[in-house]
Amino acid sequence: MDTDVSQVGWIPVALNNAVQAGSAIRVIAGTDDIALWRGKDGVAHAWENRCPHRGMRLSYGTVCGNRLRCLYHGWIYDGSGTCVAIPAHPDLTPPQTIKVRTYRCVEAGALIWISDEDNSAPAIDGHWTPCRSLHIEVAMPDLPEILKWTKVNSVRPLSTYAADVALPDQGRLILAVHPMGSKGAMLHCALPASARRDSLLSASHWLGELRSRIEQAAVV
Amino acid sequence: MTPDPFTLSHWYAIGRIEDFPNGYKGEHRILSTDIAVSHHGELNVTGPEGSMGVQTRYGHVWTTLSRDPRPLYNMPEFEEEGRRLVTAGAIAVRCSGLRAVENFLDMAHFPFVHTGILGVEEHAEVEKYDVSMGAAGDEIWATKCRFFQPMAAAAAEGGQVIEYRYRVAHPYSTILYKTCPLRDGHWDLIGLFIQPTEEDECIVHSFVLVFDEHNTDTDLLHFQQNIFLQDRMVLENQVPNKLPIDPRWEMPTRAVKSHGVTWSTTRFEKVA
Amino acid sequence: MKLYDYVLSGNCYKIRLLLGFLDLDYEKRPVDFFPGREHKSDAFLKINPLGQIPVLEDGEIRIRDAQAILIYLASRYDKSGEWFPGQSHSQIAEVAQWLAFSDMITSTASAARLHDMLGYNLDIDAARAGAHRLLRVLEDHLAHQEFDGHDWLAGRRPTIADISCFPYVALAEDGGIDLFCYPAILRWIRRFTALDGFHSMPGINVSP
Repeated sequence: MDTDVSQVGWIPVALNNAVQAGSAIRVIAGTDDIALWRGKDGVAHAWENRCPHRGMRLSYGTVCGNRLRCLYHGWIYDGSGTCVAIPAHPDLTPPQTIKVRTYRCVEAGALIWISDEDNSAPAIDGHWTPCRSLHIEVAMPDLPEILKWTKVNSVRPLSTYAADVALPDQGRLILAVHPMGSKGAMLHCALPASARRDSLLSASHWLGELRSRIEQAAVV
Repeated sequence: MTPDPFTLSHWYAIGRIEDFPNGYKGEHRILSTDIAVSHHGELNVTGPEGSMGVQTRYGHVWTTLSRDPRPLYNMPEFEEEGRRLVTAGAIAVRCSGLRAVENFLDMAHFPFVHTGILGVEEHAEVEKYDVSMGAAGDEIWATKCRFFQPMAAAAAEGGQVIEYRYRVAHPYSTILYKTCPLRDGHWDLIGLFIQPTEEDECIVHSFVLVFDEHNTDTDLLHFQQNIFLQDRMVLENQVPNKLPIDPRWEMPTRAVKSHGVTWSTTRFEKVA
Repeated sequence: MKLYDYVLSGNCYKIRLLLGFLDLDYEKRPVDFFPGREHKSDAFLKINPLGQIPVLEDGEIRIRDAQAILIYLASRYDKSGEWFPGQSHSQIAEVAQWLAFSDMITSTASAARLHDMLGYNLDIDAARAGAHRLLRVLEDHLAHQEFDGHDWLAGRRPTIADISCFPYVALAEDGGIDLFCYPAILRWIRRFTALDGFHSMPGINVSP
């Protein structure tokens, strides 16, 4: 499979419906622990999952408008990751140095992508709808390896971790895999936006079988 | 990593007295070391280098890896008439015991972690308090701590500003003295005796020692466990789970540094 | 009504949840489950010979088993009939199926929590692996329900099936069971915590 080298750094960490407006979730990308959250404005943010104050995972935090508030002491961070309020000291203007490390975060192909490199985001044509994300317990096989486990008619790479594939029975879909170090990996699947219940269900079963084959092969 | 001399020099609680009845035999762990505890007429604790010190005090069994331990600190309140002791059992947490002490000494999290019980978001401000070393130089006291609490104790009704004193009696033992809602001029005690099992794991033995005529022991137990399990979710989600050493950090870290504590801590280049 | 209750018990929490959703008054009788093991005491064994909590007393009626209590409360006190829908035979069976499933979650995810938190001596690897097998089944079901436009385990409305499965799934991380790899379960937890009358317990993070 050909890989667009300029896009190696972008990792698809979740389907876009995994984090809803006004909520935060935890994702692992490689060895990085990441808080993925979406403001009320719908914009997705990917941050290091650690409050600079006491190290609390920010994915446990509360989204207040378009800001994130840490669960532990209620410190509030704006969309750039800069601390804007410390409730224990309401008269204090937080120093600008209190800032969460942020990742670049974009949405394309019903997936949320993150990168810590300054390069162009994956360009994915068309409109897509999220189908399933499945956890694989074993260390991540790469995408070409995964595709050996299933019949495909055609493959168009989107990045190191995702491809637009056409399958004999399912038709066209985006298959993505994202590595989670010792935690295994996630398989993500998105379908063309026109997909309805039956094709979503069918693709979900297909993805489940694909996972079983990958996990069984790893056991042997 | 071998524990530093200061960490090694202390007594550690390993359970409630009633958890070691006559005939008891079991394996335990402190400071990354296996110990065996047995009770045949008297309590015996055996470590890698043979028999170890053991004593029962404050409702708990204590032991030490040191041949020449510092004396276990005094809590004269345990002798006072009319107080009730409720021990809340051994609760394991995946974090440095020092993190658990840090959390216990910190009022600023009350409105956010113990919302509606120990704090409310409208009263999140922490006013200045005094910090001093104990007479022997190996204890730390924080006094004149004041905080608004909507339901400060199982026996308290309605919100009030509560005065607290915090005492760090040793790196893994901390006691909170709070104004007794029922008896003027007296303090209720709540404390943690932490059993550090690994650098990033501990078992927390907690107690309340209070004047309270309204609640049953089980009421007090539920109140205490409810609060501590709210903290446990935080403690298991702090990164890193050992205590970072950083000069800007407050009381517990300063105490740790002044005694050369390294075990269960981690160097952290940049916090903010 | 009187509930024999333990503040850290997910099974007792199920009952507190439904009592809250139905806005029913009740008295709590706290049980020293840990460290006192009061539920195994002679006195408590007269109340429940199985030595388990919760137990509910309503007048002369005494019921043990969280799932049985949920059925009792919903069928007796829920005038809307939505928490335990009784119109369709297949839906009754579907709810019953998830009530039984919730007991399997208790014997795996809750066991892992008792091990990690309270030091219970049991096979932790087997408990966690068993929990993950069940969570995969739950994840598949919830994702497929969403394809049908259904937010809940047994249809369009939350039922006692959701209540009985919620606590030990939402508390799984207490027992070292990661939930971040189950996105449909996380969405369901979020919907559940947003229900009118929901209240939390320690170990469950609710962001408003």
